[in-house]
Amino acid sequence: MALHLLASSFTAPGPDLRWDDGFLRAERSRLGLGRRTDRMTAAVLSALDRLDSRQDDAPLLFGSMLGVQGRITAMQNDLLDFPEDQIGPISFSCSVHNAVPGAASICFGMKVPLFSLAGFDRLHERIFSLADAVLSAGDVRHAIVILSEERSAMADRTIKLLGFDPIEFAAVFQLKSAEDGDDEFTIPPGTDYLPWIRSQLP
Amino acid sequence: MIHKMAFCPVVTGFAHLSCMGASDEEALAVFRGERPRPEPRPACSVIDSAIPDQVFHIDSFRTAPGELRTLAMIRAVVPRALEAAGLTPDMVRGSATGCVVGTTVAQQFTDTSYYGLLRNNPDTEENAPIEQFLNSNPAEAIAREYGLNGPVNTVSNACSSGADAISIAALRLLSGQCERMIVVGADELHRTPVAGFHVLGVTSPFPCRPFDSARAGLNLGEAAGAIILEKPECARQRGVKPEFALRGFGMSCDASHITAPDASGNGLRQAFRKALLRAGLNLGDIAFINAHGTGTILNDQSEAAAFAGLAEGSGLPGPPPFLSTKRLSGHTLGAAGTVEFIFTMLMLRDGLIPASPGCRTPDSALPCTPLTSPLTLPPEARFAASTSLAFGGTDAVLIAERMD
Repeated sequence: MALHLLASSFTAPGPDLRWDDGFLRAERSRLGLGRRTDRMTAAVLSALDRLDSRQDDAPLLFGSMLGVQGRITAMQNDLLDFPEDQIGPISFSCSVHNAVPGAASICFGMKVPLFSLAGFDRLHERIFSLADAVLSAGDVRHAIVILSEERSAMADRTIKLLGFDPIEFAAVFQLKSAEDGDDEFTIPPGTDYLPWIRSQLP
Repeated sequence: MIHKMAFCPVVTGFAHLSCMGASDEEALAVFRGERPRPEPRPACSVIDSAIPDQVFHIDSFRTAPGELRTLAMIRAVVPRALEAAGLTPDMVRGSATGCVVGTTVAQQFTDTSYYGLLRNNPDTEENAPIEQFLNSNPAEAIAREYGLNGPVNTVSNACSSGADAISIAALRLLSGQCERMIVVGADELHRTPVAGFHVLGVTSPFPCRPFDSARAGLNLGEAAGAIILEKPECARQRGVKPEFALRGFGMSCDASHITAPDASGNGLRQAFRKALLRAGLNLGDIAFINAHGTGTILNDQSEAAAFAGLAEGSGLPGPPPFLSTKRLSGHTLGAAGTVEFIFTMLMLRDGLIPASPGCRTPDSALPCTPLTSPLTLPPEARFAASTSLAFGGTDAVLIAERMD
């Protein structure tokens, strides 16, 4: 991997390892998002908006182990509570894994390739390696990697089974291919996804 | 700035499983009208769902209780694709072979029964369904089972996941990160998308009729497709003469609406132009287009606008002939892009393109209409495109080449 990190931006959790809902409410208002924009989408769009010199022609690569948990949980509740399977249309539309980068493309007018990845094994390494492949094609100069997790009862239990503390975060990295003289962006070998993200958070 | 690809990844093997069957001959017989068309049935009669919408379910594919159906379908097609490519599991184990799987259902925890247990009893010690989920991420599971040493990604770009998986595999090969990729698109019929598409009001009460004036929506379906994509020299070294190549691919997004495609077709048009540039081809080189063609009002409008817009200024009287195969297989979500790329290659091989199934009276309000009678391709026809659109505004175009 030969990437150079140009800028990064985060929506970090508070001491309880959850996003501050007051902050997310304020960001929804500041960015002109609908009141009902879900927490993960608001957190990611906030981080993207605060990214220095964001390149709006850069492909968006989104990675998340568990996706938009607020929406997924709402859908599961609907399936349990309404035997006729009447789930909420917005819950469904915005629960799909690529809803977050899709929302980002709409919010910032980014008509770019979107890649949405899921997985539990070295997700961070795999998404940066894909960013490297995207940049190697030579069609674009920049790529933006987004990593995010949202907490829920299901997510907390899943993360604990993986041996980590549940945590909410949105992390955005703008990258380019490393050229002569550039510092190379590296991930220490053997560092798991969540510990690595925690090491990056401000 | 899009560059022509330094080389075209070659397709050395593929396999598919859908309502149309599991063999090339079965699928081609349906295209040729030699076998009856598969018919959809109410979702509530084939899966755990209260929804009566018409769906395409593969009755002949059985899964054991507790077995994850999408993963089982993937496990059914991957060995067949490897065999078709002349590869054994031992040949890929430890090699620079990667895996990318496009799916929607299989990457999300959708066990509502277990969620209910957890909701009612947060202290339950039952974790088996989560442990099964953690071990079942499709690309990671396949990479573990085959001992792959190349890049591994599960991509979930909604209904373009299967096409985007192929594009990702190509990017991995072009960047030199590996020699070979196992590419899969797969999705089972599942309660969640069945309920979701129903509530969005985009499902058809009758077998879908893409591009028809009376179209009323889509029918969901299930399928899996696997493709072995390799660097040309990798195939050459094994003495394999590929029949097809991925000549080009293009990705874009509408940046317009989270579920509805942009009716102007601008995003798809942009993706198509990128695919042509990567392929070093002109629109006139494309013998036919296997469209996404879901049968929803907006999808078909968007695609027809994109195709007509591509033809404008090209010097061609209109876009290449196009059809949708979704009347035969249903809309198979994350599988669609991969399986329909395979169908595209099969039709290129066969040289006979059916009239767009389900389209009886083409919608005259569309700027262009699909094939209304079968088309025999001229012998020199070598290229065909397959398109995909998705939630999130994603657009994807793949160009297949029949090699001499």
